[in-house]
Amino acid sequence: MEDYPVRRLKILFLLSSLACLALLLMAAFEENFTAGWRAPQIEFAAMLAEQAQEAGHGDGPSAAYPIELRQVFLKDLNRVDRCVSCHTGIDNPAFQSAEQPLTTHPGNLLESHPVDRFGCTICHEGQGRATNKAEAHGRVPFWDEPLLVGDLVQSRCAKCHHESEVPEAPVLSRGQHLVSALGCAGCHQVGQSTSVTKVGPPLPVIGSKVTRKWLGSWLTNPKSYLPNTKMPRYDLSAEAVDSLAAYLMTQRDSAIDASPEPAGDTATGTSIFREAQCIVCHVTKEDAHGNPVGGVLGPDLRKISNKANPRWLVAFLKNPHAFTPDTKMPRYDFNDQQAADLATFMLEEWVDLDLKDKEAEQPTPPPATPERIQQGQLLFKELGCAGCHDLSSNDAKLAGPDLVRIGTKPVHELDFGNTHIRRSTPDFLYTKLKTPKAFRRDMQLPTWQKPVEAIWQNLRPSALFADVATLPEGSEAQQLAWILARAQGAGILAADLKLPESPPLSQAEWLTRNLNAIGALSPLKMPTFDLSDEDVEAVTIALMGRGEPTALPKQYDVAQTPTISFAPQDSFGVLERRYRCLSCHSIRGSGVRQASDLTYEGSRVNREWLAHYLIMPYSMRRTLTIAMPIFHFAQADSQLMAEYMSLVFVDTRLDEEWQRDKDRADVQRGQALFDAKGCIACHQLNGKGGDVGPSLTTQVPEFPQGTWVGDKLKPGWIYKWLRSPQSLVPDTLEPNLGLTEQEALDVTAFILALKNPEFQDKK
Amino acid sequence: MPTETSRSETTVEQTPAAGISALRQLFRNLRTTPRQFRGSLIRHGRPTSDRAASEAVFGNLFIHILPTRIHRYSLRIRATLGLGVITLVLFFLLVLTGIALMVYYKPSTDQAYDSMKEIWYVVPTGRFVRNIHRWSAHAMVVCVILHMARAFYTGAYKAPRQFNWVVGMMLFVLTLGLSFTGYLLPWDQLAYWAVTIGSEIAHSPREVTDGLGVTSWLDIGGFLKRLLLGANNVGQEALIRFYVLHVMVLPLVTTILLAVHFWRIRKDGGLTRPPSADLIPLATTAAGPATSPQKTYGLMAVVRGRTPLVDRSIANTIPTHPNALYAIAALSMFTLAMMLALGYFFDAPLKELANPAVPENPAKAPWYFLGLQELVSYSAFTGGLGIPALVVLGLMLVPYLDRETANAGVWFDGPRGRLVCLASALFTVLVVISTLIFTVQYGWLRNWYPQIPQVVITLVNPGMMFLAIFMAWSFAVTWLTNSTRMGALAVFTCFLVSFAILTYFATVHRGPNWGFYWSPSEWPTH
Repeated sequence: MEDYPVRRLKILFLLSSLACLALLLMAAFEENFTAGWRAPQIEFAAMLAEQAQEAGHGDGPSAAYPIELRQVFLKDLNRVDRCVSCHTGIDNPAFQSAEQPLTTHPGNLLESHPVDRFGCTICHEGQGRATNKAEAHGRVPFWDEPLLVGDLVQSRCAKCHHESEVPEAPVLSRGQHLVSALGCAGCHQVGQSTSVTKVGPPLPVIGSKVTRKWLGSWLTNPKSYLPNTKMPRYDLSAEAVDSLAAYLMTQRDSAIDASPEPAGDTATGTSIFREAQCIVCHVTKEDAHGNPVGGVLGPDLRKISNKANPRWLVAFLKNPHAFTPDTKMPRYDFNDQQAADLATFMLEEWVDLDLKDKEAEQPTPPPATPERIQQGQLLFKELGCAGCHDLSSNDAKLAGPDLVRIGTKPVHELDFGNTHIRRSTPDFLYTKLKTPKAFRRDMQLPTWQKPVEAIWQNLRPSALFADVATLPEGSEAQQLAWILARAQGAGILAADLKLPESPPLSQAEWLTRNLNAIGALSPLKMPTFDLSDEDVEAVTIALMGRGEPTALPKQYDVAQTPTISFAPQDSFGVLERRYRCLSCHSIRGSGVRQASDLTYEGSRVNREWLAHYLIMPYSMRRTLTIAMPIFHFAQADSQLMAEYMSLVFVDTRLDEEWQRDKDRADVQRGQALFDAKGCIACHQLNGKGGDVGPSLTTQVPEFPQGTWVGDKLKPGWIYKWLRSPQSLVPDTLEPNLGLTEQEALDVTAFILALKNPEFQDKK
Repeated sequence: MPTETSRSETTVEQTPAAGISALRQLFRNLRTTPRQFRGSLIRHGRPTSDRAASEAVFGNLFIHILPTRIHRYSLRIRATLGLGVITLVLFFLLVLTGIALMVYYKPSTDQAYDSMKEIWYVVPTGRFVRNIHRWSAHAMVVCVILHMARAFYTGAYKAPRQFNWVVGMMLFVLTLGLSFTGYLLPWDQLAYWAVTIGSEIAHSPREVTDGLGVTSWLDIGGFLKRLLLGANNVGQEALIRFYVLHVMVLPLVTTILLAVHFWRIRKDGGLTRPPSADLIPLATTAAGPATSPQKTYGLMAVVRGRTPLVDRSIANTIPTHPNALYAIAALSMFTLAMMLALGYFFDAPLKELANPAVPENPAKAPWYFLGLQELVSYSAFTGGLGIPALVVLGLMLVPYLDRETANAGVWFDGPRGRLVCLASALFTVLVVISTLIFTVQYGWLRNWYPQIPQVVITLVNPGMMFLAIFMAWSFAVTWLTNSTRMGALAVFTCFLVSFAILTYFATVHRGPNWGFYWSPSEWPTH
């Protein structure tokens, strides 16, 4: 018995038992005392007690705040959010100044999104079930939806709010706007709609419109010509630019090519340019700081002479709608001479001589051979140009991947290439938008396959020549040479590259290396948009908002307000489309709020005044030189428009309200009130007064017959305006003076009496 | 402390003393009840003689699985390395933690993953208990394999222990089955795709029947897969099946077979030991120890089988109590401490919720099946069913093919065997590694001849090749050494080493699309 080491076994037994006991005690201690949510809750309870004491409740109900695991259980979402175990003060307004995690939820979002109905992770993501910080915030392995920080949270608003404008989420809204403005839908499926609004101009007569040299430099880098253009940079090789330009230059209009070179009078052109108020929409000069001056609806005209073909410009000025059916530019109905005058003026006025010199230095583009033109056509298709530009012969197959569910796409399905950025969807999108080629991955040469086949198969997805189905017969060396020739022909390899004299395998390696070096084997086609950091962030957030439609039950969906789309009909509609009123005005939610809203124009102004104004528009403010363009409407057209607006664009309540109390007004009392309230501080009256509001007695030297406010406005409108200006125009600067009914009636009477004798005579 | 005297005292108190009323006696009884209860529970005090120690062992239901006396050699570390006891402790630990987990786990595809998260985050010490369960399961697989190797290398399968070796093989398969069925229950990505691979392996006889053109009337693969999953894909049916297997069927069968395993140890003459272990020859037992256990010569005389004492001197044995009991207790507590430490300091992984639309790449089976998965990558049937079936059958047959009983209980059968094992290990390393290098560099049949029939692919699997080479090696060793024992040692070493290499290779060097990578850090993050 003595030779068996029972004593040593006893010691081992004792030590092991002690170890077990220690481990069990540690586990029990951790379970009961060190859970991460205890400390915040204890602090919270203390703060509650303190607050109760300050409020004089002594140790009221807050003293009984139990320290326990808390959670929000959302049955219809099958979600358990234990975030409230640490974020205890989240819906308690008294904790606004407390530190995280006890602080109150910022803003008033919880009023419309109560915690017990929405929980936390539905907007913020993270792991709601977890009970310690790191795992709850979800920045741990095997949890795909970590806590969203900063503006990224806004992306989750789009889960339920499907409209493009979500007021509480400005960055998301901006991103949504950018997604449609940048034409993302041209290459990607970004929403449910399958119809694409092409954001670039149509190109059927591009060959007649621009010069070949301009087209070359434009395709190389559009932003060098127009820094704020929407068109992205494709980083094409010189070969590819030549091919593409050669193809585009074949898109011509024989009538324009056959028309004579314009030779007009610059002085006449200048006055036409001013009358047409072109600067409302176009940039024509810079201010002292070099910032562009002018409107942004139309293209920048400052370098037009470097770009446009004079014959095309004349044709376009005469009828822009024939070239760009949905342009915002009105049709001015210039005759041949007027158009020629205007074009001559524009081409002489705006020319960038530096650019002209630079273009002259460039080598003459190679001749447009039929092969080159065909390669250009293939490139046009391959790069997805048709996503933004209409060109009749090309199908509009989407060039990029579907982005409808990109926000919930699992991270491991994204190809991060060889980058070392954090593996998360927002980081991926941000990097992709910032530097689209960042995820390029060099092709590797599989060892076991025949090298030639391998290259061919990897080349094919982005190959620019789709008409060859099989490899040609012959030796590997011949096949290699053939592929090389095709790659050169497609503009993805420099033309003078020659295969080294070596065995096929090393030739293949050499070719792979060189193709990789220029990215020719990369299937990544997305061009560079050169967006600002803020824009990239906004677009990232908008894209993160695109997720699985079934992620939430139906009852969480916010009903989409139907988009108002008002299109005037009949003869007025024809005129509207001709002069593009809605490019500046808005009517019933359609159009642009650049100029006044016309929805209730019929109730606002007198018909006679309107007809008169349309023929000879003028600025209402002395300091504002921009006004409506002079369209030289025919008498019948202006009458028709005035009549239509005063009959259709009305709010009958305005008239009714006025009719009721018409007779009880007094001009004298009104004038006294007008003086007492200091209206003159903002409004001009007989040449005196401020310039904030419109002049009440417009006197412009060019327009001596200008109307006064009494000629223009209707009494019902004036009355309502005086009572509550913001009810008519929500964003007006006019203060609400709080006039009584009688006071408003008196001032209305006074304003109505302000009639221009000259205008009255004319009538 | 109860002693022999306390026992006699108990006897006195059993009859009411004269002159004491029954009521007083009742109160006196009440006062002495704790001591009475302890006496009735333990029945004896600390044994002071060998005889009392034997009685202590024999009189206890739980301890009497052990003999009253045990051979000196069997308690040495080198005899068993304690692996059997450790495995048993792990099994008990798994049963206990498993029952605790069963209380909270919900075997439904909608709730399984959530209930895992609840166990992790909300159930008191749930994470700890789950960690212990998971790590013990892995540890048990390791210990079972090591235990099997120990038994083989000490020749413990030899007569009369052949059948117990077969039972051991069955327990080995059951252990793997228990671990594998438990794999699905968390319903995470790891579980889902590992079991999907498993079900595809069950489906793999289809490639043979397809190749023979008989699938339409003999679809073994389809049947097996349907039997395993209850559906065409891993889903609710499969989860329930795996749950029932994991918590009831397999533990029950394992418990029964464990009982058989231990019973056979006793009936087959205790643990195997070398002849040299008997320090005191039989002839010297005339005097014999004074405390020869009375029971041993009772029933043993009529029951077939051997006891540790047949043909042996009782002088070579020592009392089980306290020697073996302390050994077992210390080892058990040590194992428990190790598992608690693992569970306390390391969290068992729980991956993302199972998503049938997003395959894991690479989808890897549990580590102990990774060697097979490496072979499966060449052809599913051979690697997943053919090879393992042949290996298990082959190992079961070993005791019936190698009947040499000399040197039983000697590690590696002595110096010659050690040499054979070393040579076999080197040979296996050479064969397996060169084959792997070759296949990584040049591919396998399908890469060279894309049109080749599937039956050929199935037959000419590297695994089949290994099997053939190792068999040939074993025959060569048998012929060279003129010993079946040497052949058995050779083939078992080949099996063990190739298992280790393949497992390592598939764990470390296989990445997405089962491609070769030097380390997981090279995996393309796609």
